[in-house]
Amino acid sequence: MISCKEFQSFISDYIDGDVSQFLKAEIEEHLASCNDCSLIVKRTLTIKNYLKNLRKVQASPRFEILLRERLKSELNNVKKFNDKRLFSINSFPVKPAIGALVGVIALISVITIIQNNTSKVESKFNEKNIVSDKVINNKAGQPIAIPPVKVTSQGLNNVNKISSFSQSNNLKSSSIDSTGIKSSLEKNNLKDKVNYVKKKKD
Amino acid sequence: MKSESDKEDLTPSDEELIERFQNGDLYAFDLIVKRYKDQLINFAYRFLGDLEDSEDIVQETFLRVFRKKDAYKNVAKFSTWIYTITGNLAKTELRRRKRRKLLSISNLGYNNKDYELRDLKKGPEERVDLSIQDEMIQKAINSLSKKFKEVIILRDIQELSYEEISNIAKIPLGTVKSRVNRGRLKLQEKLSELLKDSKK
Repeated sequence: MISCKEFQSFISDYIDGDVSQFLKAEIEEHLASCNDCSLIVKRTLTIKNYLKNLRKVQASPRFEILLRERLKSELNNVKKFNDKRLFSINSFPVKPAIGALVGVIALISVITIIQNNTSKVESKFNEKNIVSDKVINNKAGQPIAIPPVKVTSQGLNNVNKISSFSQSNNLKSSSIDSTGIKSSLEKNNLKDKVNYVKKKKD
Repeated sequence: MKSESDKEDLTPSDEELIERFQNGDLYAFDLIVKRYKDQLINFAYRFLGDLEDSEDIVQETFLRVFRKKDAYKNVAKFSTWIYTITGNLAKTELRRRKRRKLLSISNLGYNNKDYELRDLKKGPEERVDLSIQDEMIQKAINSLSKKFKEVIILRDIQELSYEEISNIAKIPLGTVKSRVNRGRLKLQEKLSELLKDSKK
């Protein structure tokens, strides 16, 4: 048979019918001989009954209305938040800004490319550029100074003409390097120079 | 004509309702509110002893269900999930009250004649028309510590299973049974006067 202390640990299980047949028989045997434990069982059943029959508290009639209002305000807050975010995106002229940015980048790129090419051309040109201070000697061996010649890239043939002219007239060209010329003399300039050389020679 | 059993079959389960709500069916949420509002308010009221606070807590419970509907996974019963939310909110409210009481004690000066602590909230008897017996029982429940109060309310008032209580309170089944047992014995002590009267 179980003791009072052991029984007390099983009261709820016994009341809830959550004990084995064997334990139930043991408990009932104990209760039959113990008034204190019997009283505890009775009181526990009474308490359980009181609790079960307590008046059920219900939600007030306004409960659902209030809940709806809170949900609405919450949804509105979410909407406002989203609208604010959307508004802030919409209010900013995204497309023009992106267009302008792309334009600026393109412009910078073009300028950079042009600058690079120009510097390359210049450096190449400087490397191979002819010395424009041309000195041609006359028959007496005296140098005939030719003013600096502004050349263009199309003037290679013209300069070649100068070269051939100088050679055909027994002029010594000390500084004309036709192979490196990427510029040309303008026609009129060429004529002027030729005439100038002729005069000096005479 | 449909029989009663057919009607019961047509009633969607809690899990079906929350799934429908998760898929955007707001009507399913309404049905959840209608199904649970009273039992949750009863649970919160028995826990806190104040109807207004209980309604606030249950409102907050439904708002959380609404906001975090996707947090519910169909691995546990929906009732366990929603009771856990309400229970946690109720416990938080009790802690908040305790802090406020402590603050009000610490704010009393030596020369302050008003040593008597006044309840910050009106008692339940002022909000709910309780019988004297109900009032005594509610006071006895209020005087229980949180750990006993929770299991006693869930077991003997809300009539949930031990397994469900174990999931809600997040304690082992054996601990639930032991707490229910001890809680009932404590209530016997607190309600000895009432029990004497009932014997007469």
